[in-house]
Amino acid sequence: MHTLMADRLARALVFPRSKKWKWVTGLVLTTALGASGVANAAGQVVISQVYGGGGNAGATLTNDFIELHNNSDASVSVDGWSVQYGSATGTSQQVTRLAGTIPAGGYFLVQEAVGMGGTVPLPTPDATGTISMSATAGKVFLVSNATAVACTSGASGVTCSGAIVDTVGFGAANFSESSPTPTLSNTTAALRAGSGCTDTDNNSADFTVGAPSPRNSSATAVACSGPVNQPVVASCPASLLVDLGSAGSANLSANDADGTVTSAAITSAPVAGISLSVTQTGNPLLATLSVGPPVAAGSYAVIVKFSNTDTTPQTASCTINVSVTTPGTQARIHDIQGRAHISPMKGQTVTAVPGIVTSVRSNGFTMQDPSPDADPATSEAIFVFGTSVVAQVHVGDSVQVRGVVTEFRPGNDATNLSGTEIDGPVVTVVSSGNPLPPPVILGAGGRAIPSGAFTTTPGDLESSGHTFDPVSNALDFFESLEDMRVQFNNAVAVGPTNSFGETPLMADSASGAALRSIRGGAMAGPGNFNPQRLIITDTLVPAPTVNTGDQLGTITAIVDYGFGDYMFAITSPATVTSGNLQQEVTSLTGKPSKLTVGSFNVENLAPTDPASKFSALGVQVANNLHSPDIVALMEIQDNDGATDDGVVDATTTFNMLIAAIHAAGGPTYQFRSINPVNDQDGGEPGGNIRVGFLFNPARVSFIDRPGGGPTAQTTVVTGSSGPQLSASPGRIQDANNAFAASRKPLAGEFMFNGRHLFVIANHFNSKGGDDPLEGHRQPPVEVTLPQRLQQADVVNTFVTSIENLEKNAAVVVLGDLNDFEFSDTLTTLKRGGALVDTILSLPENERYTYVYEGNSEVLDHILLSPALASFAHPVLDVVHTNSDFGNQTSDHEPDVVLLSLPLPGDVDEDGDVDSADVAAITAARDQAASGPFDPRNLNNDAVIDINDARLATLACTRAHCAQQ
Amino acid sequence: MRNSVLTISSLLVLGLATIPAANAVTVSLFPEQGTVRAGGTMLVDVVASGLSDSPSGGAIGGYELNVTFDPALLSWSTTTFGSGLDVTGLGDFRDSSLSSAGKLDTFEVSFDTPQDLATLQPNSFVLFSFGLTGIAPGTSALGLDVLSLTDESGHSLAADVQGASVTVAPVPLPAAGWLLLSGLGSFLGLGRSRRPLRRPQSGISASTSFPRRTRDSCHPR
Repeated sequence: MHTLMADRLARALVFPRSKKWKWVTGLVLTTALGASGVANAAGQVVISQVYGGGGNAGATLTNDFIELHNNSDASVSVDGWSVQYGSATGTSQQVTRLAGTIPAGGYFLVQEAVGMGGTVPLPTPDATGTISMSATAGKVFLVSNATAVACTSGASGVTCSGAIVDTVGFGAANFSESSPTPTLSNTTAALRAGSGCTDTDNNSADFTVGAPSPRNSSATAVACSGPVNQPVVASCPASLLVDLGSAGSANLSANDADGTVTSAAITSAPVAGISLSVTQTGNPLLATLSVGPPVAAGSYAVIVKFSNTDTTPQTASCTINVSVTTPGTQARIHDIQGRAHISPMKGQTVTAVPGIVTSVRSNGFTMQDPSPDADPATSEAIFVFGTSVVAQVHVGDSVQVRGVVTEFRPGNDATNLSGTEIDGPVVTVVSSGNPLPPPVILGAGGRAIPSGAFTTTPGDLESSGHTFDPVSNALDFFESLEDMRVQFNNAVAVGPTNSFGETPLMADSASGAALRSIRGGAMAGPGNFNPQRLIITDTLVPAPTVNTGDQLGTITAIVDYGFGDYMFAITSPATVTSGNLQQEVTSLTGKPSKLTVGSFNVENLAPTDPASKFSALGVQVANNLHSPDIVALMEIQDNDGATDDGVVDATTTFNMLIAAIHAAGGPTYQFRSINPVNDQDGGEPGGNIRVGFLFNPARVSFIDRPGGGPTAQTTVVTGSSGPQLSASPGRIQDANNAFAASRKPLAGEFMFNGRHLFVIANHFNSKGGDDPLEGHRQPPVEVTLPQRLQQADVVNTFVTSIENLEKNAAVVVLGDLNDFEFSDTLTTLKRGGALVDTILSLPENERYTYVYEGNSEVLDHILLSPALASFAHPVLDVVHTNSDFGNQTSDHEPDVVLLSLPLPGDVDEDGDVDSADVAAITAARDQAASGPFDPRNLNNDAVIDINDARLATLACTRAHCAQQ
Repeated sequence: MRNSVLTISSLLVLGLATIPAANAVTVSLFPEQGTVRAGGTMLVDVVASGLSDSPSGGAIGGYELNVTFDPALLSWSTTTFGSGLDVTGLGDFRDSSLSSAGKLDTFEVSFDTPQDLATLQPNSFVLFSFGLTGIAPGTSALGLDVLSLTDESGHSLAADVQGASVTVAPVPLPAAGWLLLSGLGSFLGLGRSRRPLRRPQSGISASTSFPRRTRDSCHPR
């Protein structure tokens, strides 16, 4: 099984938990790929412009791009070609495939990654990729196939091999034509002189640096006068597998459209027994690479260089990976897969492994044995890894494969499950057009998917001591179907499609879910994260974008694995029946006697976000949340977003959000926040996310106390009328640095109806970095938990210190706590009865603020001090506006709590104190007060009596307590 | 500045009080006579006294009092409120009713401002008066419980209480007895010649039968 499909390699970052930041540090396709395939057509296409600053700070354009120009006088097809990018000193390249034809003199625009900045989109691109290029230095290749160019560093410098048509090195690139262009910037591109015609094979001389000026196929063609010097194009197989003690050979060729290829030679270190013979010079030059018996077992990267007769000879090189191995063992796929996660034949060379090709990927193919054994615990399918064999096979081919059984851990992430595959393959196509093996039915009418815990046998599933049990252990179950064709029926989405085109489904109308959410999701619970979730991907065919509850009928797919989950690459388009899911609007509204406090993680909100995000958030706050009186915000980025330039202030971000809320009909909020120290609070690098408060000054007032700051620690002190903060707003920090590289809680004091509130906004340490749910260590290791427990401990201690001074203190602790209501984090935070989690007041099937891979779960909480929880009649609403939707403004739901905090004396809660209220108090005289917020108990003693009635007359809104 | 307006019987009792006052304020019951015949009715004044001239805590802003009596011997008829908590005459909150047999629960809450109360409320005055009707012969204690007593600002005031007792006479009294009682009644000036509590806005008494009282003069230590 191979999982990192080429299109997914382009991801710059992934979100292993709670979509938090985890940078992929390198590409995983480390196998060197030789040049092969498509020879350049007549004519010459060059890279005419390179710009990597798109979307960066100060940029006008929103995207990076690579522009091509056809310098010849004939049209050139670029079908199957690619543009490729590698970092200035990197060895591997990212690939964007091309298709189409460039007329003589025409331009061809390849759009690449979008950035946060810039306002002007590119002209309509002729091809689109997602490569995020350096703004200053890098390497760009035009390649006549889609095989990644491999660069190696040797004594003679850097060599890059592949079907390279043109190369541009810019800035401090370690590979270029002669020498690279000057360094570029966010606002400058490298432009080939002569409108793209100048080509002396010297990037430094051929390019000028200037403002980017992208030209697409609609731009006026510019014909280049003068002769065009066509390059040498080499064609070689990527690999050659030879039995130890036997001979083997491979045919190579090279071509020059306007010259003669005259020589070919091995330029890598000589190996006794490996030789090259030229059988024909000219166009094409033909050569044979021979490997003889003296060669010892091992792998040899053989580089062959071809030259022509030009005055200044042109060259092209390619690499053939020669593997000399002991003769393989004949085996069937179920023998290779075995009853285990790790193949019992790992490391062995296998030969004549039969299978029907069931899918073809960019870097290999899956095949399945049409004659399965009787043991359902052994998978009948396997991934054959090798770019060079992709072009050899088609779905339905009956093949026999020779290669080495290898275990591959996707993403080189040590927490992922390993996949079994055949590497270095030699493929023999036996026949074509064969029927595919029938899919295994999952669920009703087929194999039941284990439910409950992921494993019944804790430990390392890949260890030899693991008892493989596909009947009761979900991860063993999926392993027993590795790479196989499967089908499930009556599929329903239990979460929305994410930005990577992945959608969590459940078979059989989700009848296997322990508990469905009120909106059709699958509720996570203690020890149950719904292993029946089946995440479909668009790896093979396009997948729909859906919302929770949408129905997708029957799904056929091939079992895959990536990013910590078994996934299901659908093999035919799905039909969607919409569940017509709508955004919720809260029923809670602030009233004269009732305060509303909300919490909202707005997911890396920055001024660089599109205006549509601000306006959508404005509508959610004003309309869906009914403009809570206080809103605690998480993930507010600084004024220039993710640009890591030392800017920490977020006034612009707050003000843009406030304006958007006002524009949507909400009040004009004010905000309070404290800037973090640059790059010290975690989150997206450079974004400086922080928590903050919005409040409606017409309803509540904020008590400002000086002294707060990025490194200042606010504390609880005794004030004239009870506990107060030493600084408001102030950040909660501690000597043990529990909040290192994490958001510091923000504490503030508010007044509402004469009542004093402490509000503490939090954004605890993310779960990013924990083992995935479907990793090999079970139960998953939560490396992020200890810090979260530390943070919960600090906040608990802080709240307790308030309540020790005033047991009836009104304290609200809220925010994205990045843990569940049944987690140790919440247990610690609530310790000693300091806080009550309002989420527990909801029915179980409504307890979710986040949908992660199809598990509906709680990350966002609103906790209350016992006085508020017991006597302010709290009503919580999680307002489902985002997490169930494929098109979501934030990944989190906002939530809001209504607290009854009437003005002292306002018994009928109509916003004033009048004779009716005094009458109500006298009627209740000598009764015990209902609690600290009883409006009849103005003197806050235990009993309602005439003292309270007299105080109420003094609090009357109008003279002599007249009614309005 | 305040004046005292009290019934004569109240004054006599106050003047003769021998129990040392632990609190500045005393609430006392003053039956208009010690005996009532079966079928007859008498009034009892509930009097607050000992209020100071202090700008804070010197006036009553509200009260709730329970008067207890033997319901086998006496029954409650009516309650009449004084005007000490309604010094501006714009009304206040008040009620008086039996909360159980033999327990009269009475409260009053002033709507007046602390300043008006401090200025216009007398230092001693009748909070309310209530009527008792004799039912059966015997002697009933009149108990007094202060459930709440609050000053003009809503703060609790401590008070001493002074109860009383009433005897219900079984039969029509002999002629001598009538004479004696009527003579005593005349001598004491019974007939509830009370003066209005309402003060002129100037706060200065236009006429009064009694000299101004001060705390010192009323409450020898």
